[in-house]
Amino acid sequence: MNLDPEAELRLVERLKRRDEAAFNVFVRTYEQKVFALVLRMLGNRADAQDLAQEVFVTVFRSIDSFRGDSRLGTWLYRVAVNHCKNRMKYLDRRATRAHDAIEDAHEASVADGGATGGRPDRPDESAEGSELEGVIQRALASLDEEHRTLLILRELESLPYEDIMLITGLPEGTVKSRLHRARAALREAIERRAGYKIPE
Amino acid sequence: MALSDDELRERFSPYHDRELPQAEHDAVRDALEKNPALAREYKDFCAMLDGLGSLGAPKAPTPLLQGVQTKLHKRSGGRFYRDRWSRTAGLFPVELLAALLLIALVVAYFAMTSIQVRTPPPTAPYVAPPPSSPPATTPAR
Repeated sequence: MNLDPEAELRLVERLKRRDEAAFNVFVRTYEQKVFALVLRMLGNRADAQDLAQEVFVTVFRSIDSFRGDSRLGTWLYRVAVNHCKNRMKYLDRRATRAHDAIEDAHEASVADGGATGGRPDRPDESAEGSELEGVIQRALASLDEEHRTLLILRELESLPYEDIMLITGLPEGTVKSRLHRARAALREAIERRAGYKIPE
Repeated sequence: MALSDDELRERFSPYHDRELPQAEHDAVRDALEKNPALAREYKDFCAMLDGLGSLGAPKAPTPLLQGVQTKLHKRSGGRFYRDRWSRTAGLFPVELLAALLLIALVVAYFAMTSIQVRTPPPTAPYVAPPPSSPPATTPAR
């Protein structure tokens, strides 16, 4: 995903001058990578499209703070991951509020004597889990934000530990130990979901 | 170095990445050789990582550029991406394209002014033919 260093330096200089044509090239170069990362983090295409655009808007505004300590692509990933974390917190709060509202409605229903009780079964959910890719994607989406971030950066984006350290702000030992825990959590999540067994 | 099954499971990931100290790595390898059930679990673990790494990258349904430009245009109060031309992606800045166009115009101007237009030789004046009388018609009976 990285440009060669000289081309990157020239691009950054033009970006700092707010050169619109250079910014167009920058967006075209990185848009698919950023969209893929954001979609994997959020799991929703509409949210991902909007947030990926916000990532580029942030880069346009704050490119002056890029000091060249890392590659431009790594810095862009850091911006994207931070945006994702903020959006996930916002979505979690919204989901919690929605969940509270559902709970309130359920309690009111029980009080009225009209509760159906239990969650409706979803036979399609177990049918969907027939393919490994789908199972892995859903299990990945069920992990907590930190585990998901590390797995995406390391296993899907194949980033070196140095880049992951810069993106997450964690020291190498912490990145590694949390990545091992993230893999174990993913394994548990896969086995938990419909008792799926990974084929050999 | 004796390890329980749970301790071995905890070491699947660092064993896979070859991050364990040599003695521990050897202990895990030996334990997996002796324990087929656990060896199968480790194979499953590796298959999971392979599956994860081979997930296809999702594609953006539409290019993001136009949306980014629109957001920047609005939020900058119209300062950036003012006109339609600047919103097209290109390797060359608009100023360079404008300069090339100007040079092309100058070259075209000099080319046109340096061409001598040859006037055609004079020809005999046009003489209109005499009007001819229309053929006589016989009235229909």
